[in-house]
Amino acid sequence: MLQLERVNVHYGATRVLWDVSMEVGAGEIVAIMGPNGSGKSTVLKAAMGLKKPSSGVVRLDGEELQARSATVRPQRGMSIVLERRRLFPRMSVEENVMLGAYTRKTAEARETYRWVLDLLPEIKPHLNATAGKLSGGQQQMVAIARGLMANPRVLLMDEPFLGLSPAMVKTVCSIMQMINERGVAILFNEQNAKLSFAMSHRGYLLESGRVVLSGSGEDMLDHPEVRRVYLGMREEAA
Amino acid sequence: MSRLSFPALLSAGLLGAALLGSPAYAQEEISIGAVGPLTGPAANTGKDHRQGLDLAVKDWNEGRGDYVSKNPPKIKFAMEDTSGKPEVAISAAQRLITREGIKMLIGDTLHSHSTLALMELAPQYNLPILSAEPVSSAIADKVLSDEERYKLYWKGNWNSSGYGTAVHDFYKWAFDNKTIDPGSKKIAFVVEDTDYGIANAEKIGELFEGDGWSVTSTETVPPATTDFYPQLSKLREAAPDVVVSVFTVANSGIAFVRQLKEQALETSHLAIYYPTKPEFLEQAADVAEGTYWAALTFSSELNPEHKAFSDRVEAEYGNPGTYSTAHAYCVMQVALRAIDAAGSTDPDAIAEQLKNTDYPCVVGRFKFDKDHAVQSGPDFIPVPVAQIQKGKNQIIWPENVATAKPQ
Amino acid sequence: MLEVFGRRPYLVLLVMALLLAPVPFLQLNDYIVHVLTLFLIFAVFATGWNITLGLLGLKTLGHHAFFAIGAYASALVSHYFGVSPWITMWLGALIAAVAGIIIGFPILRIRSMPHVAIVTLAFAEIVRLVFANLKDITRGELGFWGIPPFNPIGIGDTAIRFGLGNAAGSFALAAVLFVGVHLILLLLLRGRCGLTFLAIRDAEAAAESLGVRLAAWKLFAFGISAAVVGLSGAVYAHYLMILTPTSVAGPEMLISLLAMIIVGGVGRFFGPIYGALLLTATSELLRDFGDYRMLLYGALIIVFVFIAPAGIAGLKPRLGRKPAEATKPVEAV
Repeated sequence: MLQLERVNVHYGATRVLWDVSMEVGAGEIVAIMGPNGSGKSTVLKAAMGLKKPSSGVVRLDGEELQARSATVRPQRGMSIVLERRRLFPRMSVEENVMLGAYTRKTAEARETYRWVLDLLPEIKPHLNATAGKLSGGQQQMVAIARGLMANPRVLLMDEPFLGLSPAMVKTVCSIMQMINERGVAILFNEQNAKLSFAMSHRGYLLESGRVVLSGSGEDMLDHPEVRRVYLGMREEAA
Repeated sequence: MSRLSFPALLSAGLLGAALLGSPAYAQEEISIGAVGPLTGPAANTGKDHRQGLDLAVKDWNEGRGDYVSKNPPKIKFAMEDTSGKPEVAISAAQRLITREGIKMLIGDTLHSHSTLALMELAPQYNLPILSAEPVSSAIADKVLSDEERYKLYWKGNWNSSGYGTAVHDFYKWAFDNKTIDPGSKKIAFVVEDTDYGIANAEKIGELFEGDGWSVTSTETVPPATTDFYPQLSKLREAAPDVVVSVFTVANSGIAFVRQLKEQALETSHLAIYYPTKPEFLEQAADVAEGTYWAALTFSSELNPEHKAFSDRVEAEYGNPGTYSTAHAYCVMQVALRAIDAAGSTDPDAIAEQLKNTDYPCVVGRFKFDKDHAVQSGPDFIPVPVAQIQKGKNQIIWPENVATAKPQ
Repeated sequence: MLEVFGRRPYLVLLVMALLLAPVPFLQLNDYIVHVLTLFLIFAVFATGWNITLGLLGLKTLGHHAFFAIGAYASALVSHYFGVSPWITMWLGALIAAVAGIIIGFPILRIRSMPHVAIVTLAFAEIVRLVFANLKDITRGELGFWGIPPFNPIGIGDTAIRFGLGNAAGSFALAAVLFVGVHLILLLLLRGRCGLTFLAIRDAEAAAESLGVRLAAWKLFAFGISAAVVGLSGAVYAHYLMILTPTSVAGPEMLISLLAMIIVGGVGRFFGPIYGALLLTATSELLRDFGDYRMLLYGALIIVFVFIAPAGIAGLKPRLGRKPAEATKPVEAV
């Protein structure tokens, strides 16, 4: 349902994405893995419309969106959980979550709100707290809740595990799977190969702005290149 | 009350404090108030005004006044700060009116825009108001627009056109007695891009055009400019016979005179305002020789009366007197004599006596014109033109106050 | 939103209105009433400025230009065309709003705050120079006089008069303006509009990704903000009945108003009001200290910035409040 075709992105004169093509099917979890600076975040920003591609096509359910701004995406069933949460720190948790339904009617939003709170009961006790004062994990929950308020069919998640404790990473993983089980496709990025591919249906390996490898999550984990460069490196580091 | 936020309580407290005022007093003395810029960019001038006003009141109360009646009233004087802002000038004046019960206001001591606001208080509070140093002719225009409404307002300084008239009359005199050659009758201006600079250029240009001259150019530069080569190269082409420059920043004037000298233009140059600053002569004496300038209104070096006044100020306050000190002193003298002559604090009587004022003071003879403004010129408050001769300032016009012949 | 409006903003505004209501009937001397009138006008000015500066978080330093535009527009039209100031004040606000939207366009494209500050400052300087140089119309720095006061309103046999010297009437007008503007802004900003502004301020990318049309909302904020400031300028013009470009659009105005907003609390709805009251009232109260007045005034501002870095509105009493009291849920959408 979400397709990127030969997408190129420039920051000024610097080209950061080179003919990137990707696809997210309905109900899939898709991971973008790659080292720091490989352009993972930029792919998500280009998909969401927060960064305009210099060429290429971004298609959602057949509609070309590359020329449209981010603001039209939520109504079309696409939302994003930004890197480092990007909550509105001085508003309450409730205000943050409700703003996720910015483009929707109040009655519909109320309904989704109940659904989201059922899905993420962890945030219920903090609804009136100031968002900026929550822990990183709690903030990630709120950010996910906010992302879900648009009632998306595809949810983009930029570095969802960044800065979380191992226990929290697990929790967020299971939340992502739970969301996926409700029929929401997820496209996320992550540096850790094991974490990325173990939980995803399909994955892409991005290096220096180019897709160098793609395949099912399992295939990616078994690929010798991935094992040697990414898993090996990880094991040494650990 | 616990539901209210602390800031709300604080604001209530402040409001309360502002509301509490005790306008109670009893007096035999007559209160006079003044408002002027005691803080802000013009604070220096405001302080001079305060010294001048204060000194006049002191002289009056201690038996050294120039009294009209045998039984002059004792005076109580207070001055409030305007920070140079019209709305604050109004606050200051209203405070004086309600707290001090002033019978006359000297104000604004410097700013024309504050005066334009303050003069509205004259009809509202039935209060005689005499402004000190403001010159804007807009004030006089406003008086003429409704003389009945502003009958209690008087302007203690001449109109801004005074400079223009003086410069024109000086040149006319110099051409007539062949001191300066009018050549092909072309005049040019290099002035600072302020109302002061532009208004002077317009007035002078208008008067010269009336005598059959042509204005070749009016170059405007931002205040504090020090590079005049672009303007001077234009002047070289136009080859005017008279160049008039107006700057309020001494550095601009020093730079202009220096660069003009380098270009060696065959022209008569008259400078307005900046040579009144002592640093001009200190830094430009070598290149400024022969420059004409206006207006040397106060000079301790040349005028023994000015010197005596400046020494008195120095003895009293520890700093020499300036034109502003002397002018404020004279304005207060005029006010005090009007009150004395009126024999009461009746506003109309005081205004009538102001109108009849004809009083020679340190800076000149004070006589009001039909537009309620003090008159300028050789017979009233002189606007003398000076020339720098042998590194010193000399008054060369008008002849009745001249200390040297033009060279 | 709690941080911006406090717990019960309508109650706070009601208390303020109740404190102001009796003032014209107290037979206070004109000086005090004049100072309070200035406070009210500047409070509206500061509140309007706070919309872009505090709520939207754009470092706009040129709002004194909108004050001048509102003031001059209303004054010029009423003077030259004989239109009642009751009508021209709205025209002043409208023209200021249009100017605000126009200056909003280049601001949209600027990401760096120092540049926003420079562009808006330069805009204010241009406005000042334009008014100073349109001498045939504004009389430049000589001062534009002949501005009519608001026409008197007759109630029964008594007529309420306005303008300098008519202290009670002028105060009443300023108070109605003050309460009215703040009430309308509360109604507007407590809902979706205010949330949107804060979302843009705190996380622009997030707001955009949620569907907030950044450009339209920013321009709207500029328009509203400039309109409120322009309205206060118009009331100022017909009250003082004299305008000069420097006195309304000069750097002194910028500095006093910024000080009011900062001391009161940037981004707090009631902050600018406290700041305006504190600075307007104390600069007058300190007159008893003679030459030390401005010294004490400056010291006071510094002290406030130190003890209340978030502004007076951000102050919390140390006693008598639980640290994290639950807040009332807010309708977000």
